[in-house]
Amino acid sequence: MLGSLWPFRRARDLPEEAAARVRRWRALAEHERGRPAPAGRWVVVDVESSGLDAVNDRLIAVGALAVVDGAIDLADSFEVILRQPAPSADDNIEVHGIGGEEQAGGEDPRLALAAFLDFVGKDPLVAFHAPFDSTMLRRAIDRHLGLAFQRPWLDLADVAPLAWPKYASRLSGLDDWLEAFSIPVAFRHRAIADCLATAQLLLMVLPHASSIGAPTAGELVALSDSSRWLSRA
Amino acid sequence: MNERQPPPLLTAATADVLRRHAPFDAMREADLAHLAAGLKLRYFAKDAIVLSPQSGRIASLYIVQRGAVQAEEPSQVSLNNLAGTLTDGECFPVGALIAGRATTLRYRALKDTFCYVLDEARFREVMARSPEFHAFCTRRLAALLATSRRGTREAYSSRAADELTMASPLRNAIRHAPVTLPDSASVRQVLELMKSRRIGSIVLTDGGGRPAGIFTQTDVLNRVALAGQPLDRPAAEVMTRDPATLPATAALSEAAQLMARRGFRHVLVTDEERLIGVISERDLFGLQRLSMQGLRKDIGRAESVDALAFAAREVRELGTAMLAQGVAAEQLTQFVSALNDAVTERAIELALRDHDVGTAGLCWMGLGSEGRGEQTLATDQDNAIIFPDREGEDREALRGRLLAFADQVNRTLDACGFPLCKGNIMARNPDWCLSLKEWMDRFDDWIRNSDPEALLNASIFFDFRALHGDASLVDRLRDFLLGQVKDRPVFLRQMAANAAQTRPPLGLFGDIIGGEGGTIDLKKQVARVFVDCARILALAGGVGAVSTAERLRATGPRVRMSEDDVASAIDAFQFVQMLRLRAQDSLERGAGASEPNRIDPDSLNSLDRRILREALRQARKLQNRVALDYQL
Repeated sequence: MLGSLWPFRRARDLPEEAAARVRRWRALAEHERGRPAPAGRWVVVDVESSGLDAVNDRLIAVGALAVVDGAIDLADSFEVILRQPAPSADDNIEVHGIGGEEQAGGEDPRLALAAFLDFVGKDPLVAFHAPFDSTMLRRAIDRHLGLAFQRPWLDLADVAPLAWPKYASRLSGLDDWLEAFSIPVAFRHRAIADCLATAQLLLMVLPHASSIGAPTAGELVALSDSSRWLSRA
Repeated sequence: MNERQPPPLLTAATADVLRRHAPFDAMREADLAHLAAGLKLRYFAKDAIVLSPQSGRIASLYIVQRGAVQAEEPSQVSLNNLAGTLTDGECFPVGALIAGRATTLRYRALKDTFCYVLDEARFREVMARSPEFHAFCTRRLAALLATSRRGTREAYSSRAADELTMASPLRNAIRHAPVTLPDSASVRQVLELMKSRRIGSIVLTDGGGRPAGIFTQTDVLNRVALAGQPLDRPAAEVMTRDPATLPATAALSEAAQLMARRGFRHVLVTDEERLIGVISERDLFGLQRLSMQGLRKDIGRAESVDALAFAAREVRELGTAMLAQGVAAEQLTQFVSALNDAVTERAIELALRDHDVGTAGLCWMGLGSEGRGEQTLATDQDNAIIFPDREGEDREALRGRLLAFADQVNRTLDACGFPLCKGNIMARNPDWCLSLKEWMDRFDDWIRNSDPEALLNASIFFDFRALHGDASLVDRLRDFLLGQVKDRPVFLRQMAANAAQTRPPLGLFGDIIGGEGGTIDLKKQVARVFVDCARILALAGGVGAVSTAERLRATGPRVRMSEDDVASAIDAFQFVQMLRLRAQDSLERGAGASEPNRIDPDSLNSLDRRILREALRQARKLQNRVALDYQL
């Protein structure tokens, strides 16, 4: 009875390595929301999944790349494929290029996601169309680690139009923005390559933080939240 | 600091971006991957200052990923400005980083710019493990030149393949049996065989001995190591399928064209679909040396002016083909000179048959660029005769016979594509057909007077070399010259002052200043500076060498030029010579400017323009050094 209500019910099933990482992550201090937006560490995240339904599709791969003090550090990056019980559909494989064999040979999801927690720490996260990535991750982390992953996300799909209002009406998807700023992407829809492209867009957005009324990290995150509410109201 | 490695995809994608530019394209894959794995990427909005002298000690290398960075003097008053614009793939500030000091220039983003940033520790690691990167950073000019030569080769390669008359079938050019494995072999087996045989490629054959694919060293990194493929995978899955293949009856020129067109280094040769050998790029280069020797024999065997003229034309065509192959200018001019010497020698031998001067003990001298062995493709004649002073001989009667003989040689050379000298500096001119004693008097006169005409003559006649006959006369004349000059500092000072009047066309801010129609004269404004300075240094140092490169090598240490200084000056000179050769080549093809030595710097690609800028800087540096020596 009590067991089913216990929010961390799965914790006791975790391999010790994953459990230790979850404990460490919980103990981490929250990032400084009042720090200047261009300073400190942001983690750009991109996920690949079995489909575009954030609620029902499965998480297949996660890529993450840090931007620290306004610079992308290629070595401060993370990529993992989660082991799948069954491969995703062929047309889905064509999107991200992670084949059935690779899916079956992926990392134990518990270890993979614990390593992801270790990598991102309590730093604010960044994505383009963040709700999809955040939902996929929240569901997977809840399911495999029994942890509620509620994190602040900076959504570049919301904030980039504020930094370049004259582009806002013309550009919608990530591809539009990458093209407008000539940002190269080596393999579109490979999580880590998408992260690298998105991170370059972030580098260009950060210097605008003050001018769009969000000089601190916390305000910039808040801005992406509020602008999402406004545009969907 | 960064023990963590980026995912292979990030490293590979970054390496791919870098590989489009020098020096990264020449680096070993593993070294480039090590460099790429240590990079950060930064963004600079238009007009942002990337670095300035106020940034303090430089602790990172910046590589422009995309965008443009202006290097500028903060004060804009220095005369020695190296300013310029850096674009994709260019590195800065290399000098300051190596020296561990602040930069003297300010670097400003001209537009939105992304730069890779490599921290000093990783920079030094890469320097230590990659000779190509090390050379690029320490001898930037030399590294840029190598790239430029490769570029030349690529630009010309399809045409060169047409012009080489390599008509023999591929079958005759195969050197050894191909190294193959059945296409069922694993990647591991392929790698082991490559290692044990020390070869860079292996052909995989199907059951019938037909080539199924080729596997090269590059594939090891790209398709196995970086792609994380297991070694027990069948090699057939990662090899290059459908490799370039030609039948054994095809001509070598077809192989050359195929390589040039498709960028392959190897072409497989088959007989009835069975693989019988592999022809590599190197095999084709080897063949060219053979034809050079053949040409030399043809020259020596020419029995008529027509036959000799034909052979001389072949020399020019081969020179063009070598230029197209990216052969370094020093070797190319040496080669052209060597074959021109052979043509001259043969012209003399033919004339000797008609003239009774064989017993005179004469020596035929090449002067000016011919004397220095620095002829380009469009060189007119500069020559003279020196003969011994024999007691009891009628000097004027002998001179008369020699002049008739010389006239025939001059006319033969004219027919062979060496136009008669407009200034009449030729052996058939009685003024330049002199005995040793007369030459000594003439030289002595120029050295004593050092008036403008004497200085002009010195610049041509003091670069003399024996081409045919008794070379000991020339040696004695040179000993005399060096002895006289040593005691006449005033003469050398005059020469130095004269040389200082040619200013390399370099602007206040490191830009190239074009004259009429934006063009510059490579011979008069640039090459001459190197030639004149080297001559002065050689005469002052008592050095008998005649070529500009040898003169600089022999005298550099005496005037406190480091080995790198000397090498850079020679590289710069050779690059200018190469540009002249290229300009003359396109002129002959009706594609260039109307004057053989004029080029429009804007017509060069950005790499060659950068090198030219650096060459001009080297010219000015050399000139300043000579000026300093003579307190001009």
